[in-house]
Amino acid sequence: MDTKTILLTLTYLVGAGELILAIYFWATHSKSEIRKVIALLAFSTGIWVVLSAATSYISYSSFGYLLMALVYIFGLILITTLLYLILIMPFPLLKFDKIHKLLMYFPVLIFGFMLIYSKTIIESFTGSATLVGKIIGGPLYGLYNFYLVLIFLTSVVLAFARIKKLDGIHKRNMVILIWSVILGGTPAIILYLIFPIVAPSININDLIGVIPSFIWVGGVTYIALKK
Amino acid sequence: MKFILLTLTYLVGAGELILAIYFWATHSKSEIRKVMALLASSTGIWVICNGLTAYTNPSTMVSFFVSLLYVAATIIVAGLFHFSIIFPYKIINFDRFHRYLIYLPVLIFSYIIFFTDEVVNNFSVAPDNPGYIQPGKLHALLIVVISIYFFSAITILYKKMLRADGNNKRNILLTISGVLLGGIPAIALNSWAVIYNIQINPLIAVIFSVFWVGTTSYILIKR
Repeated sequence: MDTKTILLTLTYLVGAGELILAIYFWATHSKSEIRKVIALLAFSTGIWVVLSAATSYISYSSFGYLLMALVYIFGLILITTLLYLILIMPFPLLKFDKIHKLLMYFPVLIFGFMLIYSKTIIESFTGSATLVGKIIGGPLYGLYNFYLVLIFLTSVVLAFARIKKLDGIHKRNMVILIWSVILGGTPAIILYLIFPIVAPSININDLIGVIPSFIWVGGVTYIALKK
Repeated sequence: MKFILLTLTYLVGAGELILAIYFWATHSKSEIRKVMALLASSTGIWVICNGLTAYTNPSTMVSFFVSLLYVAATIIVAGLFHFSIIFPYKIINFDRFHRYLIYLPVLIFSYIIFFTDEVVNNFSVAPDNPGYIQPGKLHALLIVVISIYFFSAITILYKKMLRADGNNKRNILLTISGVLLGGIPAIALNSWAVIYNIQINPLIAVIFSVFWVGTTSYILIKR
C-alpha cells in the first residue's frame, strides 16, 4: 500500500469512528448538556475529518470548493464546541444561557457566509490524484486562521485555569481533557492554520494533522464513559 | 442644500459627542450609562465621518473616514443590542463573557473594513456630490449582521415592554420609538439602498440619528 492509500484509509476510519461516537452520545444524552455538547464535538470533528479526506487528492471544481468550504465551516464549529465543552465541564463555569450560545456560534454564521458565498477566505485549491493539494487563501484567510488559533488557545488556557480550582476526579478528568486536546489538536492547528500563514512554502500532507483528532475525541469519550 | 445638510450633520454629531462626554462623566459605575456613552460617542463619530466624507475630494484621509464610519455603525448596533439587554433592567444574568461575545463580530469586521476592500470596494466623491459607496464582496454580509443586531435589540425591547408597567413601560416605549425613528432611515438608506445600488444622499438618514440618541438621553437624564 502506498502512503496515499494508508493516509486516506486511516482518515476515513477515524472520521467514521467519530461519527459513530456522535450517534452514541446523542442517543444516550438523557438531557445532559455535557453529552449533547460531546455529541456535537464528535459530529463536527467526524465531518471535518471525512471531508478533509474527500477534498484531498482532487483537483479544483465547484463541488470540490463547496466541500472545502464545509471543511473550514466544520473546523470552526468543532473549535467553538471545544470552548463550549471546557466552559461547562465538569460543571458550568458560569450560568450558561441561550444568549451565550447564540452569540458564541454567531461568528460561525459570519465565517460560514464568507466561505460559501464569497471567495474571501479560500480563493481556490490545488491537487491531483497524486498530490494531496494546497489551499490558495483569499484576503481573509489569515483572519480565519487567527480566529481559530485564538479560540483554541483560549480553550487551553481556560482549561488550565480551571484545573487549579478542581480536585479529585474532576481534576483528573480535566488533566486528561487538556492533554488529549493538546496532543490531538496541536498537529491540526500547526499544519492547517499556522504553517499556511507563516511558512507557506512548507509542504506537509494535511491529513497528518487530521488523523490525531481521534486523541481528543477519544479522551473526551473516555472521561464521559468512565463518569 | 449642501450647506444646510452639512451644518445639520455636524450639529447633530457634535451634540451626540457632548452627550457621550456627559454620560461618561456621570456614569458612577452604572452600566446603562456607560453603554449609553459608547452609543452616543459611536453615533457621533458615525455622523461626523458621514459629514467629513460627503462633498469632498477623494484622498487617503477620506478613505480612512469611510472605513471609520462603517466600524462606528457596527459598534452602534452591537451597543444597541447590549443596551436592550440591560435597559431598564437585566433580563438575564449578564456577565463578562456576554460582553466579549457581543463585541466579537465588531472586532472581526473592524479588521475586514480597515485592512481589506471586501466591505467598501471603492467610493465616488466630489465637491458637488455627497459620495456613494461601491460595495465589496462582504458589504451585504455586514448589512445583514447590522440588521440582525438592530432587529434583535428591537425584539428584546418590545418583549420587555409587554411585561413592564408604569414608568418602565413608558421608558421602553420611548426608546423603541426613538430607535425606530432614528435607525430605520439609516438601515434602509445607508445600508440596504447601497446593496440595491439606489443612490440617496447618506446625510439625510444620518440626521435622523438625533431621535434615538435624543429620546434615550431624555429618559436617562430624567431617571
